[in-house]
Amino acid sequence: MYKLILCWRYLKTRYLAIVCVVSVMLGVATLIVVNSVMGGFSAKLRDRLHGLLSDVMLEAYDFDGFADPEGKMKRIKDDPLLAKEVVAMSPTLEIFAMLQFQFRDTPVTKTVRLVGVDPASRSAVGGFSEYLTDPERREKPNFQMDATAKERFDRQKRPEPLVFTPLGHPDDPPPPEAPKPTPRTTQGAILGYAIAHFRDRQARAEDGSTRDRRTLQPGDEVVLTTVSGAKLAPVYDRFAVVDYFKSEMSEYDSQFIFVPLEHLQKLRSMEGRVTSIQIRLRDYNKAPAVVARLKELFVQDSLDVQTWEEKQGAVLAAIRVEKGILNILLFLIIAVAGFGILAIFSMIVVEKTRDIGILKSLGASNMGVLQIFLTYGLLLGMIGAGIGTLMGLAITVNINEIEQFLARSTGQDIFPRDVYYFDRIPTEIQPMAIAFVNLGSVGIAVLFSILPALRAAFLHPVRALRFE
Amino acid sequence: MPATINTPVLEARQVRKTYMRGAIATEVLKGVDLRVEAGEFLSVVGASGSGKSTLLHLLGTLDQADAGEVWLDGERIDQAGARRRDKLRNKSFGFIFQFYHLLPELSALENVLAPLYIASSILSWPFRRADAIRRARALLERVGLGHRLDHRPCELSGGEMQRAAIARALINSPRVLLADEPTGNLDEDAGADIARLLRALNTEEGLTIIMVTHNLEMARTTDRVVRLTHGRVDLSSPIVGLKSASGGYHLPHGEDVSVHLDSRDALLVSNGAGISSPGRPEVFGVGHLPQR
Repeated sequence: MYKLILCWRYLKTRYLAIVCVVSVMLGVATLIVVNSVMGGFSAKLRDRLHGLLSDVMLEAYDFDGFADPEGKMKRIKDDPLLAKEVVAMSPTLEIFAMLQFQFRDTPVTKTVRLVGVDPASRSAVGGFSEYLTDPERREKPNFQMDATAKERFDRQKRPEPLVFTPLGHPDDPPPPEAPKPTPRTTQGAILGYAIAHFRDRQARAEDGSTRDRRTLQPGDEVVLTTVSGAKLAPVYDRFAVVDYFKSEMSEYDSQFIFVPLEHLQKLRSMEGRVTSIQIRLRDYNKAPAVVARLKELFVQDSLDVQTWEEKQGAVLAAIRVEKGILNILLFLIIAVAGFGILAIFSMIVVEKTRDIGILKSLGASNMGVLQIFLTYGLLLGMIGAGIGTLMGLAITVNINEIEQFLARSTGQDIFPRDVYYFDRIPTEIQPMAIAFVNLGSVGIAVLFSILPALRAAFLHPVRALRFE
Repeated sequence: MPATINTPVLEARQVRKTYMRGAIATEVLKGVDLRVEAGEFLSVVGASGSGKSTLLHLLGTLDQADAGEVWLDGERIDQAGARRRDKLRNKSFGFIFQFYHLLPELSALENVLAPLYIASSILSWPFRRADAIRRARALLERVGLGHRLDHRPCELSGGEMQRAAIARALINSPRVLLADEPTGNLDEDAGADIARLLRALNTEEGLTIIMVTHNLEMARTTDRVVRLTHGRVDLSSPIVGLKSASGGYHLPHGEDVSVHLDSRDALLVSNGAGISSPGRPEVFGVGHLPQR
């Protein structure tokens, strides 16, 4: 009983104790903020990395792809285990390509990745329609130009057809004639946002957000050049820009161009063939079982089966390692706070020596005295951790406002928005991490109070009473 | 007044204690015998360093003797386990000190309650709380501090602090009150008040008190005085005690003598055979044994 009373009184009357509380508090708050922001970044990055990739994909090793995707999807649907786990599937044809367009009468060329998709099934798999910039198209993904795009498309003077000169050895047989596109049936293409925009660092909006300059409007025409299926002969076609794809993952936004699957198949003379089947699962945790089953099912077909995590393995591992190391380093902060507690506690024990003698003369046991100081450490740790948690959460929740305030008052950009694609600092409050941080810091507080507490417990009562 | 037939409350037998300061050993007590009877008010006097406080600490189990025995109510307590000794200090002994030794964070009332806090677990306390507070209040009233219950020690005068300390020592109704220079840090008036209070507690409530003091004036008001010289009970030297009723006094070996102080604080002893007379008192210096 006296232990608690005395702990509480010591807490209320010792200003030194507040230093302990503050050091634990700052450590805990820092850990929580850093963890939340790191968590936010990595969650966002994971999101982005997942982005276009479906949960599981069945891929050809080769640009020529594989035949009969419908038959394969039917086999998947007929399999009892897979039928239960697979929610949606979409055949996809992916190939590198070269994009050419005119910007202010200057020809521009970019390398891109061309993806032929079936908009309806691809939307069901995910990672496509939700990133489209046109809200209507997000509801009902398609490759049709809307009215304004159509008008702009019609207004534009068609440039002369590009003269295509095949590269290659002169002895090679001449490449097959590329299919001649009829000008007025131009297919739509959805461009990665960063392909059609550039970030103007000079042009800043009033609110401080960056402005993007558009180089390709909906309705503008672009030329995409790629290779045909098995023969890898160059082929090209004209496409009209219909929309943009903005996943906020620069790797995707600056490279991907989506076109209708059937048209791309025709262009590459590989009708009925695709390079991959994207699969969405009901429960991603079942992915290993699904992958194993798929491998079994398509063992004859020389297809690669991977989850998106396996495909992005290196990057994900790097994030994990980074987070682990950061946490270890940050825990050192709390260890420093622990040494503060050790020093301050030792001082308090010296200061309280006589009181310890008094308590023993009144019948307090060594254990009792030990417990007073351990409880004291525990209380300090808990109060520090509690306040620190609240503070950390408050900072985390308002981190964007704090950043803006600091940026405005110091004139320094703390979170340069053009480096990242996010407009706000992403945060993710992880209850488990907070619990660990709290537990760890309270543990350290108690651990570091053990030594002074032992010293107090084994003080000789007579010597303690005589202590000046 | 042959008291030897009574069982003593507290008894020390050939108690020895040596303190080590580095490599230098100082023998503080060199075999001290002491018997304290129930209801007795005994004072221990002696020069600084004579071992009187050490004796008190050994009697109260605050410290352990190197040799010898300490008995309380027929139980040998100097060899008892730590837990038993903690309990004895809590229940059977009450301590008061020269510097009061109140806990500065607690109010007067809470200081008085401290031994009960220590004896109670957090679960049992709520059931005892009301009784405990009533008793503590009553004790503070008894020592004349009823009006300062919620004051912190730093807000009390020396005399008031010592009264609070006395109340604290009495909260568990101890068998023996051990007082270490209770008036040593007080002015004359406050010291006299404390002395009166102790005397009243002894006569009215039969409290057994062992008081260490170097104030002979105060020692004179106690039933019996034991003088320690160089770590031994100084039988020779003028041990003064005034058992108020008879003036008689028994030495450890049972001889009745009558002793008192003269005007210059010189110690006078006379034995039953009338070696010294009140009219021409013999004055004994330290180390002089009356020839009998």
